[in-house]
Amino acid sequence: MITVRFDPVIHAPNRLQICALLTPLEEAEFQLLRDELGVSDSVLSKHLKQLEEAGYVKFRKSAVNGRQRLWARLTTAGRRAFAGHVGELNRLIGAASGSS
Amino acid sequence: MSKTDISTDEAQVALDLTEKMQSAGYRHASPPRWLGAAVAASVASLFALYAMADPYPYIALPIIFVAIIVATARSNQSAYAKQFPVSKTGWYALAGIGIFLVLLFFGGIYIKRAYDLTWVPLVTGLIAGGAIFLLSESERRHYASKIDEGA
Repeated sequence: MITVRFDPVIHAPNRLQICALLTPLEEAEFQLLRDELGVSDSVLSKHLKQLEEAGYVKFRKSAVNGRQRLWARLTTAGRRAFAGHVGELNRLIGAASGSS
Repeated sequence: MSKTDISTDEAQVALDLTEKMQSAGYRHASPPRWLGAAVAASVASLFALYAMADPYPYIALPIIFVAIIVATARSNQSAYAKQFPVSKTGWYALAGIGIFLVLLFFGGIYIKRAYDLTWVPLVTGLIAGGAIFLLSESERRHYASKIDEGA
């Protein structure tokens, strides 16, 4: 088994999924993230807060037809961290398949 | 960064999950077909207006129409795709299309005035509208292929 270095913030499955969903997007609505992840509002809020504290996610609020909508987007640092994390996952798999 | 010792199976599961979520992102961001058609029709009508003797009272209409349909489409979406190309090639392609449309627009007006051919702006409008619709379809196909990658 080789040693790889993962980003501890992104390493948690839910946060990895959040970053993956946001990667091809400019931004996504809170409800969409919650539904795709299949988690509660509070669980999603907790993960998003951790990503925000790491500087990986930023938020924007908007009101449409009287309804408040919260939008999340990956920052440049978030995109870089996610790409690095996925790179490490690929490196791990590549090294294992190369040694077998 | 932290060290970890997850197995390759766990890493593969994480990667599969990542692809699935990215695919979901593309699915939600894929623009509806009517949007491309409506923008193409608006641009075509903007070009074609110059077939009229005095188009200036009407030129704001297609621009306002585009703004309204884009705002409507965005208000119904829960995710937006990236607005600008991420690669140099994408920027070159965008600049090329922009230059092509500007040349087509002013070229059509010039030919109409120089040779008194009132139908030329109609043709340039059709070409511009067709090009924009094809571009929007190409973008939809790009999204579809990304969605398939994670399926």
